[in-house]
Amino acid sequence: MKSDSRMSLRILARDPILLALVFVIFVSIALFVVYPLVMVFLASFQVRGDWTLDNYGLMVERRLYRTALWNSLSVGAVVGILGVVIGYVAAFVLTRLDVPFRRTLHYLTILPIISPPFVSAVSILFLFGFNGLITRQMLGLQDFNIYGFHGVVWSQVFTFAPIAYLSLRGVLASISPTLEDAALNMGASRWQTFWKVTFPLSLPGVASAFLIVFIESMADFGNPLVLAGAAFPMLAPQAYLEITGSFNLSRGATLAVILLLPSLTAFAIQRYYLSKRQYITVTGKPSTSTSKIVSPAMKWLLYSFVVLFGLIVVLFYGVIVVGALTQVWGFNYTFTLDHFAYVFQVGFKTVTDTLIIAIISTPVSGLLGMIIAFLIVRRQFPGKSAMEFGSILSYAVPGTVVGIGYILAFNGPPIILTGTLIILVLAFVFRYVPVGIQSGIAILRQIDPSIEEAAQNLGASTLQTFRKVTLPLIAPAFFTGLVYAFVRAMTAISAAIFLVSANWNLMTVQILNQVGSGRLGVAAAYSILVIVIVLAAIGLIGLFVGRMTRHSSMVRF
Amino acid sequence: MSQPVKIKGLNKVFPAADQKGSEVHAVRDVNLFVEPGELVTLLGPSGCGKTTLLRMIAGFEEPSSGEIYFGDRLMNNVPANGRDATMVFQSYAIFPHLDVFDNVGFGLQLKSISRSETNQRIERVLELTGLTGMARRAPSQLSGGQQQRVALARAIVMEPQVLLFDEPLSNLDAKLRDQMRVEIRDLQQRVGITSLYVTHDQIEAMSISDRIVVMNGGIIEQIGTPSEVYARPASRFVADFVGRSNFLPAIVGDGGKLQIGAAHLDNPYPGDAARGERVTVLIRPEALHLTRDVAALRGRILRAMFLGATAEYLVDVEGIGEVIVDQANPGAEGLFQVGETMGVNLAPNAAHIVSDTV
Ligand SMILES: Nc1ncnc2c1ncn2[C@@H]1O[C@H](COP(=O)(O)OP(=O)(O)OP(=O)(O)O)[C@@H](O)[C@H]1O
Ligand SMILES: [Mg+2]
Repeated sequence: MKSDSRMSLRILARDPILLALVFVIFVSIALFVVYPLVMVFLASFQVRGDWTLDNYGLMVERRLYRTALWNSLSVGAVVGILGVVIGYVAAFVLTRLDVPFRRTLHYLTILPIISPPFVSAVSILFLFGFNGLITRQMLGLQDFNIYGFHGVVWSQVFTFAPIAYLSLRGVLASISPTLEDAALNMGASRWQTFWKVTFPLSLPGVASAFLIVFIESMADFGNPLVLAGAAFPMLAPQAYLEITGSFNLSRGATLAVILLLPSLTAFAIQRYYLSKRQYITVTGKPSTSTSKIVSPAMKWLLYSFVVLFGLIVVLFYGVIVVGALTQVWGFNYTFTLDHFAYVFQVGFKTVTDTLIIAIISTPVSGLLGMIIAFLIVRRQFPGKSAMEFGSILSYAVPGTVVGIGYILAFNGPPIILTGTLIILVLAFVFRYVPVGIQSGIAILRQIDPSIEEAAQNLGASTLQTFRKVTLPLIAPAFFTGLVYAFVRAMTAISAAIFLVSANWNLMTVQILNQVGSGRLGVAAAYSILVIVIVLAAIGLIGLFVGRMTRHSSMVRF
Repeated sequence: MSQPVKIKGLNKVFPAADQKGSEVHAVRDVNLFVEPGELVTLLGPSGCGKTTLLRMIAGFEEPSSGEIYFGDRLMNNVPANGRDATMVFQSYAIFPHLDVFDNVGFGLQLKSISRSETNQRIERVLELTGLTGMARRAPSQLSGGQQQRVALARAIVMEPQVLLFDEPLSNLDAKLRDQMRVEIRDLQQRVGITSLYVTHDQIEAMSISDRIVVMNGGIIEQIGTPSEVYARPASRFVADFVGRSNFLPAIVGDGGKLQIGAAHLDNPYPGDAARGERVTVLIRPEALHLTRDVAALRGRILRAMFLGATAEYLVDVEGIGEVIVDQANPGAEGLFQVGETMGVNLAPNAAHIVSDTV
């Protein structure tokens, strides 16, 4: 063992660029992922500079905090279950059944992933709020209250079911339909076949999807802030209020720690337990044969369920568009461009700020992700598994925790970054790099390492090998990483809200402010602008990555 | 310029895969000198350390101990991309995102060579490997043999100090393999680059090498020309691995003559065997000949197989035991029948004393 790590050190010493890369990445992870988390922990054990357990005592004593924890957990669990049910049905229908408009429904179902966090909350207010189109104007209800548990749950289900859908889609597509055929062939009924073959095979994937949605729900900040209301405290907004409302950093930090624990647990289970239990039943090309285990009646029932979800997506976005283009929702539906005019005049600096931050952090995050994946899969160096763990850790850390950690870590010496562009870029880069890393690792593990050895053998340095061979080969992961980084940079709020300043502000924060002051029309206009920018950027990134790898399309990996 | 390769006391120990597993001593105390322009094959069964040795020379594996020199230059601390020892990979490792031209030109384009010279060298090597006209094809549009040529072209266009081949033909079908074997040998002779060639196919090794290194369990068992290794194997393992063998008991007689059953044979390489000593000798099946006439030995045919160019017999020889006989041109005399008793002749100098250990 010892001689082994000595040997990898020797190799490292011979390749100065590799050595420098590894060093810089380790230092950055330590500084921008681990250090802020440590600061949160330390702060939670301090009151005005003295070490104490008082903060945790308060958590147990005060009903407010106990309720907040319970509310966050129960919302997370319910959203997890509902999200997985919707995701499973949608994934099953859209991958396994022969139904019309599969592509359209697929894109509709994943649309919520790329929209800013308040779209569904604002739509719900438009439809079910005090002046809601459905509750007030159509049903004439005077005292309907959307705030609280059900408001948050519905909004989050709409936001996160698409994530469950995407992850279950991969799981279901990897279960060979021939297994179902075999069960039917041996005399099992359709119902038995589903419960005895298909479902058990997808169970690890289902559990995994549940945990992912649970983590997202726990970490969610925007929906609870708009829809929870004063009577329904939840952890993430409560931590924010402690800090911005009562300037109580250490109590905010304690709430952050409590928020972090369930997320980290769920992440650990998902990553170290479930991911090893996924069954891969296909070898070679994924089968496209359609499933025979549902009766025609069942098929159309499930299909209508998916169509319904698609229609709700259309409705929510339709409402946003109408809301952005009418005077005052609920009172005056005359067409106006005032809200957009506001965005492009008063609020235009926020738009450029957001774009600058996203345009800087996207390539950095995308490249960093690919480099880390490359190092982890292809190079030997001491501390490799620590690097892997540290670099994907932030995936499980709720944004609120990151935000609080960054204020605690970078507000004073040795590193002062508060109020700068850099702090936002760093937060985004390290928070959103794990998705690129994970898909980079997955693709790289399938590529014959001798292709990269061949490049080295012909004289290419580590960097040249990476740029000329590895990167083009893992272009799909690069695309995923870039798109994810950009979308998140445009739509992030939970960490960013602690880090914005007068100099550098974000559109999402503006949306939140507009919602807070009741100007839903302006919020809707901002949201539409974000969606348009994101869609345009995805197209551009696709073009760029495609050009970078012009020959790969001819090759099947 | 082509360089000799010198390997001194080279070892490679892979650490155990987990706590319970044990270390793998993949290459053990290897010493080897490859002359400039020579083609040497590393021959041995699966897992004997051939690839590991080659990868250490290429710089992909770190030796546990020992030294590697190209010419007088110690290479141990030179990284893989600075060794100038290009490799033809078993899986070809062609860059799937580049066309044939860019694959072949990959290494040259990294050097500071003028564009026109780069292009000239690529064109020349494409012609040499019969790839002219395919320059703009994607790798997925090539046959296995063509891909193999791209891998070869990509390695030789660099005009390296050393060429390394790791079972370059093992993915091809038998016909193509024969053809490519000749082409590689031809090409290597023409460009005159010092080459190390890994294979576990003894026919391949015999047909293309100047010298063969036979390896077993990480150790070199023998180094010699193809005919030396075949006719005078250093060990029973080498004899068995390189061609088919009969191992027969014999007694050393006067003047180093060998007595095998009732037959007496000259032995030009008596070694240090003492008179009267009991030894094991190797006799190749084609050195035995069946005849209906009277001969030195007699035996009964237990099994007969017609193979076209030869017939293979299993014969129970009196006073010796079962031996395999390869009889040339069986069409002329017809196939002998199972149960027939035949005379068995031995070719002169056919016997070679083998030891069971090195
Ligand atoms: N990276 C590694 N880690 C641990 N053991 C290894 C590693 N690479 C090779 N080995 C072991 O070293 C020994 C020699 O392997 P090597 O690949 O050199 O064999 P080979 O002679 O090329 O065989 P083949 O003809 O099958 O290619 C084998 O026992 C193998 O299991
Ligand atoms: Mg090998």
